[in-house]
Amino acid sequence: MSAVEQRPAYDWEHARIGDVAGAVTVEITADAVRQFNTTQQQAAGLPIEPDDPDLLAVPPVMVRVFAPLRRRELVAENGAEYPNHPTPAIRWSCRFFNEPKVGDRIVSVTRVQDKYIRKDRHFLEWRVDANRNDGTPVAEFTYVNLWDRGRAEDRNR
Amino acid sequence: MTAIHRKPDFGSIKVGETLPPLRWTAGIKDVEAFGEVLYSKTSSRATNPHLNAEYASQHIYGGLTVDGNQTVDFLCRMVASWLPRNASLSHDSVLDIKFPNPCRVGDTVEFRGTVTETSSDDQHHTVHVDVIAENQSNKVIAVGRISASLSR
Repeated sequence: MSAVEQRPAYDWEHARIGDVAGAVTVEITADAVRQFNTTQQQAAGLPIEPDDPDLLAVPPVMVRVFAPLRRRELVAENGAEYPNHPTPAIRWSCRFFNEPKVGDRIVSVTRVQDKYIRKDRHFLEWRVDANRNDGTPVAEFTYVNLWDRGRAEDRNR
Repeated sequence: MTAIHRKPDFGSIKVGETLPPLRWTAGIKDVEAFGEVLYSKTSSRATNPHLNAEYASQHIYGGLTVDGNQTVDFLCRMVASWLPRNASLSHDSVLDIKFPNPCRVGDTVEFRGTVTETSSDDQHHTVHVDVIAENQSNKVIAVGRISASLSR
């Protein structure tokens, strides 16, 4: 059996509050912001003007791009295997301190903030702290995932 | 094309006011395009329940679902396109969104918002908007609050 096969599954019992992934740095580029905004404006049927400065305004959800959640990396860094089933999002809470701008280099760290059971379902809560590389805080967010395989009735939801 | 009805300033925003709704049909092209801008180039499509139909069919919801981040982005765009130009959703702001049910590819979704509170301090105004997204079966797929700040 290889070393990979011997890794334990990162199931709810295995996860520990405080598990952390090493910091990662991502630069916010104009191309990425323009592409993100154009894609979503088109999908929403909202107007797009090529010279609109709003196309280079960093939308809140792009925090997920420049401060990625990195669950799989965290699991790997903690010597485990990521679950072999989807882990649906249940809640996303984000607080912004300073507006992210094109050109910012964002340093972020992901950790397991909490684990809990509600109505016999198991949840993991992740936290990501995102700062500019000079230490200025940009945002912090928590993201809750269902960590179970789901139930038969979920197929009808 | 959805028309924009932007509020001119903070003083024109009233508690109880409803925002013009946004409607979207969750087509696979839009979902895949969002994946292109959200996911890293190295992330695996094989285990992505938003992009891989075969994988999604074998798991919890039995089919492709929309990434919750895409849903939140539409809620943000609905709010941002209505607030005055000096408003920001990513400076001194808070988003708190729950996903009670999956949004399935093919769903038609209506995004709505209602101003529930406004406040001011020395530096900025804040507008709190309760937001909700429902599919064609009136199932809530996202619900929560977006609090935006406006510079004074």
